[in-house]
Amino acid sequence: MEFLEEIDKELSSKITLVAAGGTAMTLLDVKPSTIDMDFTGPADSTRELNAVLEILQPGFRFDCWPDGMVFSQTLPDDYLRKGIPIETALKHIELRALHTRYQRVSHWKARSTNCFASFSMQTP
Amino acid sequence: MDETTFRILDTLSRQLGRPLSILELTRKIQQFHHTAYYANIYEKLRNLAARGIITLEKAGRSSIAGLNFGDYFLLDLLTEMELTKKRRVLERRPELRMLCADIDVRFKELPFTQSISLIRPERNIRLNKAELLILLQRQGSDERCRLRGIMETLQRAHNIRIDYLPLTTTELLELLSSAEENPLKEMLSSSVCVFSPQAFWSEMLEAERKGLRIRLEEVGTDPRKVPENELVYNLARFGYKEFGTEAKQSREILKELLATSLLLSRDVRRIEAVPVILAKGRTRWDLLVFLAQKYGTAGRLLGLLRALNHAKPTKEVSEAIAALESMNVKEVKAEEKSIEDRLRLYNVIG
Repeated sequence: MEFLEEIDKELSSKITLVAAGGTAMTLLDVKPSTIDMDFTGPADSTRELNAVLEILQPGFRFDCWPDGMVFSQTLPDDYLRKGIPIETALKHIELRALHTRYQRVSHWKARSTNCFASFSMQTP
Repeated sequence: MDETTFRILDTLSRQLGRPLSILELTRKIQQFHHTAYYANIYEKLRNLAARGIITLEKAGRSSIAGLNFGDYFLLDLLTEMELTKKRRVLERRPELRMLCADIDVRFKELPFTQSISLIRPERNIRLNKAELLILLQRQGSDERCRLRGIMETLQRAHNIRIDYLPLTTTELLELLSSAEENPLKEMLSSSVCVFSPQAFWSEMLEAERKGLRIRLEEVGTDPRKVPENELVYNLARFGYKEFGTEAKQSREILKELLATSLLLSRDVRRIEAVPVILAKGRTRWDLLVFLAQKYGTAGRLLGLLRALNHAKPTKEVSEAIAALESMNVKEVKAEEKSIEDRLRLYNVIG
């Protein structure tokens, strides 16, 4: 995710981001690519990220929700702790992917990624 | 073209207007190309100087290297350098290849296009966007309209954001030789000409031969970080003196860059200064619109331009509004009454 490297260059302090949806699946190598970027994280991290996105003006859609609010749902309090760490060389971004127990996968997506058996909607 | 010659020409062309000693040149090559050996560069420079491509002038104990604009072969060598740069970028970033191929096809049909350069192509493509500098032989409403149509098509076809700046060559050279801080000096320092590089360099060399002092900058002015004293001074320069502030002599900033800085400030009082300075004297509307797109202030600018056009309608402002509307910009409505009062206070309207 090269765009994260560009974001990393503009950050002056450490932030924590948790990838959700297609972004998480791409980072976890379940999907080859994603059309848009979906992240959540602590409010101060998402605030910093949004400020950087204002500077960079990227050419793709970037949704960033504060404090575990994702796709109009509120994640359980342990979403951050249970997020799967993603190893990167980024200096200012601690990157995680939303744990599969919190992923909701549409039937179409599931078929295309051949992971319908692995992922299921679990209401906390 | 051997690698050392390429690196020398590339580095010197990025530093136009700022001649370098051999040691400084070696350091710059190291910065841009990661490796540089003084001995190799020194030897190659002597060779290029003997051929008349480069000038080497003694300055104390150093020798200062510069491009010899009077040399006939320099144009071909700079064109070759530019093509090499293009090839390398497209090899590293194959996703740009399709865009460049499409640009070639569409712009071949437009006789008024001089050249097209990609600004910071590798950094921008990582953000799924492209910045284009489009040099035109002439620019009227027709040309603007056709250009807009092509840009919309390219964005849709390649699913990429394109911020483009159309300028005539005259306008470009004026900006590059201006004493005012402006973004073109830094843009061209990090650009790759992907369409008609020979035409591009032909204009640049011709300008230098005529005595125009072109100066490129490695680092541009960030409109988000313009100090208060410079804002105050430059506002006064463009006819917006604020009471209670002292406009001390400071660095001069291009009006369009100043306007962008004000739009980014989110200070309502300062934002309302924008229509005043735009209405006074000459404004480069295409550059203004480009900067608004680049820095995400297009919505606010659109609202202000509508208010300005309401108070003092002009063809240029209407065209700038049309350009912003064609980019599907979401307008941030401005206080029309407040803007009108401000325009009256500063003698823009009666």
